[in-house]
Amino acid sequence: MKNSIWDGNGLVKIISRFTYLILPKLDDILFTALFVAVIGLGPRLLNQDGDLGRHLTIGEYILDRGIIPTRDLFSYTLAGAALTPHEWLSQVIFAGANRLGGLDGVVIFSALLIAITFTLVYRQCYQRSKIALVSLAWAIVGAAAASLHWIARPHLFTLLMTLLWIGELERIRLGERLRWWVMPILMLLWANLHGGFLVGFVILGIYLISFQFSATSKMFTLGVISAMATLINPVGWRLWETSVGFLRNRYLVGHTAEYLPLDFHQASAWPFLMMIALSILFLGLSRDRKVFTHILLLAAWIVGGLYSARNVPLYAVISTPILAEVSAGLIRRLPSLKVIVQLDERLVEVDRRLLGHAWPALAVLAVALTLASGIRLDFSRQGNHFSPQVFPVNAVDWMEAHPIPGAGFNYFPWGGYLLYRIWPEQRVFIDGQTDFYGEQLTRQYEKAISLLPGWREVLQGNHVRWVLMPPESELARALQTEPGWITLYRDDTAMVFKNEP
Amino acid sequence: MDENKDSIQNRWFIPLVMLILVFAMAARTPLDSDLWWHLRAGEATWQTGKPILVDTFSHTRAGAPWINHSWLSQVGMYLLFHAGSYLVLSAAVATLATLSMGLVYRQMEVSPILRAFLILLAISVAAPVWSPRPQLVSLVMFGVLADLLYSYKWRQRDYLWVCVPLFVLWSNLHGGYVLGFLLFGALIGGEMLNHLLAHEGREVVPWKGIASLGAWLCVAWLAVAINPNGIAMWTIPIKTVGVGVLRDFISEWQSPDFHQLSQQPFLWLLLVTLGTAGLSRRRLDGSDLLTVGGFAFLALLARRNYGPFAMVAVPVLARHLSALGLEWRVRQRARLEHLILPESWKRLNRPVTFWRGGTFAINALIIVLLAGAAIYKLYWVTSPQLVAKYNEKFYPAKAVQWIEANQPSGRMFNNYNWGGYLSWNLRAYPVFVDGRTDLYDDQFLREYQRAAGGEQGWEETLNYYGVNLVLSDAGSGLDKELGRSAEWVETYGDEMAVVYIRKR
Repeated sequence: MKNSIWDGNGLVKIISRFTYLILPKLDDILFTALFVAVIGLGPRLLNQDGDLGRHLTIGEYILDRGIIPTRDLFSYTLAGAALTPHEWLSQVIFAGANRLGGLDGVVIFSALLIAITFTLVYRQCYQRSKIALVSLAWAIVGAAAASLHWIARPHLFTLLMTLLWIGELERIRLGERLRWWVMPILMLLWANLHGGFLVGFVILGIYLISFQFSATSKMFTLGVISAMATLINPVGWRLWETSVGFLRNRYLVGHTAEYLPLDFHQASAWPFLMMIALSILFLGLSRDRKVFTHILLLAAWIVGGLYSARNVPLYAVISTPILAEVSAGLIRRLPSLKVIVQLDERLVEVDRRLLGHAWPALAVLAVALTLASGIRLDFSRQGNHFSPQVFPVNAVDWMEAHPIPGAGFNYFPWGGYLLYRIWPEQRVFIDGQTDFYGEQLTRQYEKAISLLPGWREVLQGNHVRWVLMPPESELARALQTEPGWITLYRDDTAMVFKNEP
Repeated sequence: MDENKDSIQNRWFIPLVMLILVFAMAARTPLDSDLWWHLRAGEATWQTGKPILVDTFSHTRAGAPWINHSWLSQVGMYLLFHAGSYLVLSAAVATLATLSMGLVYRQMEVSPILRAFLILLAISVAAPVWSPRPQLVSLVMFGVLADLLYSYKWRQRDYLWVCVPLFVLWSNLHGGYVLGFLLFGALIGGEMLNHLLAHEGREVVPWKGIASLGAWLCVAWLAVAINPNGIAMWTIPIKTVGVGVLRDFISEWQSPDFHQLSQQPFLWLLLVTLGTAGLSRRRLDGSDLLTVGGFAFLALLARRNYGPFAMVAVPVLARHLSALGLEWRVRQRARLEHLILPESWKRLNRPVTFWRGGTFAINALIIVLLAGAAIYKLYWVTSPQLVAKYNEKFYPAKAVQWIEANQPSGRMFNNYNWGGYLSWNLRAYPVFVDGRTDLYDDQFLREYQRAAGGEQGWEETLNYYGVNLVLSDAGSGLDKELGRSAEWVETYGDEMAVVYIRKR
């Protein structure tokens, strides 16, 4: 006898099936929560760093003309000099997002990238720990630690690429089926997305240290092929020269804000600190035999994170799955925590049956439509735009209305914003791409803003006719009384001076 | 019998060599900017017979109450300086540094060679804070307390009553006594964690013992009030840490900057401790975990905490290094025995002696030579010529001479880092500010900072405090602003400092 859908069992099955379709899986919940959280931080993503304007400008240039610039078109100080476009693909993607949705589009894309990365972190945690609750907790802690560097910049791709790269290396270490094409393709993309591709080779080096003939030989071979794949970029081997050259220059690294160490008095650094404390706790309490490579990875990236703030998100992405594995081992051993394991087993059983993948897509769509309709979704209700408190928004409005001929001297963190607003009519003195401007010009800039002996010669030598600086800067204070200079514009963020010889 | 004799010699020879080396490393030219105001306070206390509890050195805080938590150290420093100038002062600094490391040495249960190596590691971390300041006395007090707690937990010897006189003394020597409470707290918390994690073993302090620790902690807390400042001493750590501006321009209160080579040893010690604890299969004790984690956290907040971190981390590292070494030897025994036969190893490892008593003579000679070198270094680094040279390099010695010779009138504005030096060397001019951060509050120090940088409002600050004389570092923001001002005239200038006088 056939069962009718209207009999008791059939109805229960339909309701049950519908429930499985409606309820989101754990990783979908994590993705949606992270996505919404990052959207809430939208203005911070745009304003914490001065380089976004530059990335959008270069990306727009490439999209408009179909040419990747390998000579400088953006400054007058180094006009025509060889330029290494090590982020051109990211710049195109960010510019594409900007074309689709303006700065809202940039924020949505960045949120998407961050949410995908940490959802994958969760999955790697689960693969290694087999305890979903532990994995979820670690993914959240990792995301919190990484959040100090959630900025709309190409380095977001490096986070994702690092995770995928380590995933492949782990597969090889564990002797799983070799997918020889994955690492070279990842590296090909990475080298064109962001200069942080070097991180991949550092990680590979750490994996190679703990020698296991079969795995090491495969990793080494794939590493060589991947290194060759990095040469497929607009400037070939020069990509390596620029990236390594920059890191070897102590002056430039020391003068780049994101390379500076963390200030642990700031609350944003505390999740990282908490992760270090938890690393000590779980590694110390665990009596399982640890994987040497994992300990090396942890140690190397703790050092990296303490050395430079920009390495903290990498530490979070790399260490979270390792710590999830160690802590899961500990939880399984402790009788008092058995209840967590049992609860988790039931949760995973339910989660396995759920099919609610629509939630992330709906969340992204809803956010996009809401932002498109003009509703602000950020926590501060400022809206996704360059803040007039951070960038010289009103000063540049004034400059557009009252164009000043000749070369200008600008505050370094505003270079990108100026390109975004007034390029190609005006080129900048300097912007955030320190690896391009190099030590000599950066020292000239420093001399001028710090009023070091010879600062007037820097302005005269570069035929500077106007200066755009913050009012509290030493240079702005000096120019107010300097003969030959007049103040044209002033607000709380910026001052514009003109040289009248 | 002979082997036994050699092992006894190793037991004194290696620690002695290590202590002499620590002494030699800690013997330096005394240059700390706070040294001189401590000396001045010590001198005033000694001469008046009572601690200075009201400000008499500055014109901005004159007559204001000052919780002088280091009065006893200051008297000691003054008497040492009075007795033998920089030589005796530096010798005392080196002795205290050696004592602090000696106390760490006692808390390790590994071979003398490994202990000495680990002490060298600790030195590289702690050495930047070895300077002629009461803070160094705090390190020794911290070492004594750590040793007491070590004996209590790991050797089951109860000398906790010593905590009471220790904390009475500590609260009169330096406000850093709070580090002792943190160490106490970490031990109590750690032992509770051990019980929570069902750890067993002789080293796990029973609940009764934890209660005893808690009781002594309370008594010690009460004992801290026995000092000239009374219960105000309880507030001094909060008051000092609460000065937010400290971390803006005083490097010892800032988070570490690992781009500087001098700060990297802390990072390496943290890393080695973490790596060793992670790799060894020895269970990490709850107290070890909380002390290392807690003091690493403090060191990441402020560089001045490198010393206490090194002192608690090294014994923990020793425990895990020893366990790791044992594990490795067990795992690699077969391979090692294959490489070198046990009999050959014994032959290779035998002590080398040329004649009866030769080892002792050689060891004694080495000790004498090292001690001689350490004392020679002490004399050399404290020679008046060298001290004067360094004073000229780091302090406005020539500008001070000019002011003394020309006697310009009026209240002085000075660089924060020079305040102590001026207190001692330019007594006729009360300072604007010096290193007594707990005396000057956050608002005042920010005001100072803006004025020193020549930022907006600098003129108002100088006018408000009636400043007519400015002794500033050459090239500073204030120097540039005064140079542009029509109201001020530069009367002296060298590479280090400039002197401006207000026009009448």
